[in-house]
Amino acid sequence: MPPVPSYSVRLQSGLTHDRARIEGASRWVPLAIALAAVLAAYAPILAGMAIEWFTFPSLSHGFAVPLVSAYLIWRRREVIIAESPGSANVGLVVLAAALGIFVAGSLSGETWLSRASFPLALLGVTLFLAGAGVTGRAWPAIAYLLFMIPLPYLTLKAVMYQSRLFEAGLTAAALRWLGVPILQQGVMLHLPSVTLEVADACSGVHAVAALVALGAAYGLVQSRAMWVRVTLVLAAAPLGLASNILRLVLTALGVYSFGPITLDSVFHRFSGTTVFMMTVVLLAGLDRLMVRKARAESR
Amino acid sequence: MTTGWRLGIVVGLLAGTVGVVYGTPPLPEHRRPGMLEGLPRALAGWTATDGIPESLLPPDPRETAAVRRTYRSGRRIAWISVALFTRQDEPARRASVDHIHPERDVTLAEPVAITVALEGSSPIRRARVIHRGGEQHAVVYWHQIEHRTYGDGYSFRWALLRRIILDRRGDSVLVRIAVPVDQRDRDAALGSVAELGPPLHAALARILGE
Repeated sequence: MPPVPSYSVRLQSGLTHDRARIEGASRWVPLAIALAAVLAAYAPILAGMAIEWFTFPSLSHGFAVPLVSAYLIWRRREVIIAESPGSANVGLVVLAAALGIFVAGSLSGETWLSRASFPLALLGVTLFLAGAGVTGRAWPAIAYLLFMIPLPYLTLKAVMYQSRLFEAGLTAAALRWLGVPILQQGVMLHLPSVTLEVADACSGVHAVAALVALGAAYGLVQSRAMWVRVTLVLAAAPLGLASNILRLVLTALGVYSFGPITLDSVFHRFSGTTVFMMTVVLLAGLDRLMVRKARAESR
Repeated sequence: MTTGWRLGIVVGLLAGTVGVVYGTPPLPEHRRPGMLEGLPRALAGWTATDGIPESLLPPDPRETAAVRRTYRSGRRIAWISVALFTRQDEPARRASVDHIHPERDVTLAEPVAITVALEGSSPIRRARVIHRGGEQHAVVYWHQIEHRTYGDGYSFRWALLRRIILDRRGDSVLVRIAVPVDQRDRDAALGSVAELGPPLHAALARILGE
């Protein structure tokens, strides 16, 4: 029978344990204060972004991004705490660069620059006050915050027009293959009874940012091989475009068969939701296929 | 260096940044009344009358001042819009990419190669042929800061950022030229732009440099 420790020994052991816990927790206080200061400095920038997430449905995934990022930190909390906090002076350089970008972006009204400097500032502070070990564990969660930043309108506009042309071309080709008489002129699709325009709102580009964020979150949260994770992230955008083309083809087929009333359907009006749901199904299917392949290879 | 010192440096840097960002006054307005009216009505054999069809070169609600003229040379015609934008440190005062050429009922905005050689600045190498309602017209545009021109949005925004931070000025003009395009002779239309662009650029450089 093992010896039972006396009351005083147990008390001493408990106090030592509590002291160790308090000392362990206090190591993180400077980092917590610095991160809170970064949040305070960027508060107007973050509030401006939140207004855009709220205003534009295609950006509403922005609300989920910080939550996913926080969840990624929570999931790794054991390994992060296990790292001994240190300090890397390069973090000060990263922070200074981030704040320089923040100043330049704010003074010149280049909102995207100010916003993009936020994750960089968090990275710099973490490196400077917690060291390379902790940063090495936490950087995916910090980098994930990039997904909450809306693309610059200049970029979105250029990509969107090319995407509309591309989608109109493939939709016309698919309809011809299905035997529907159709004439394509740029972004216009002329059916026998009606002309359809692949407008900005019809472009799959709106959903792509949300889908790539979703693919990355899925890849980071699931315990999958690295190649599966990378494939899921890379596949999100093309699968989103494919879903949108399928939606356009089905809409045009509906208009051809049943008339313009199809344009008032839920399927067409909630285009973003339709594309998002179709792509989620396709991503889940792709994930299952890859997991099966990986299992078959490991046998 | 202790952790306390490190934290102090971080908080100090952040406080300084906040001070600069929120303490810097907005840009002053750089605008002389009627400055764009000084654009010559005769340019390299082309003569102007006021006004253009706004459906071809839509006005931008954000512009501070603008001149829009129809230039003619023999049977050739070109429509020109020169719009001044000021205090562009506010994003809502910048030229919008949605108003450079018409977008409504446009079947195709076809990119075509062109060379408009501008003295002392980079040439403009891109035009768009706008297909609308069975008609076509070519649009060439550039942003101009003094004599320097920028044919694409990214290089312009980078130049504007430097101007705002280093010179504390946020004014520039957006120059647009539109010409009708005959499908059988597209080169003639683009030739008109290449002919009218350089004297227009030079005249504006003089006005903006004053």
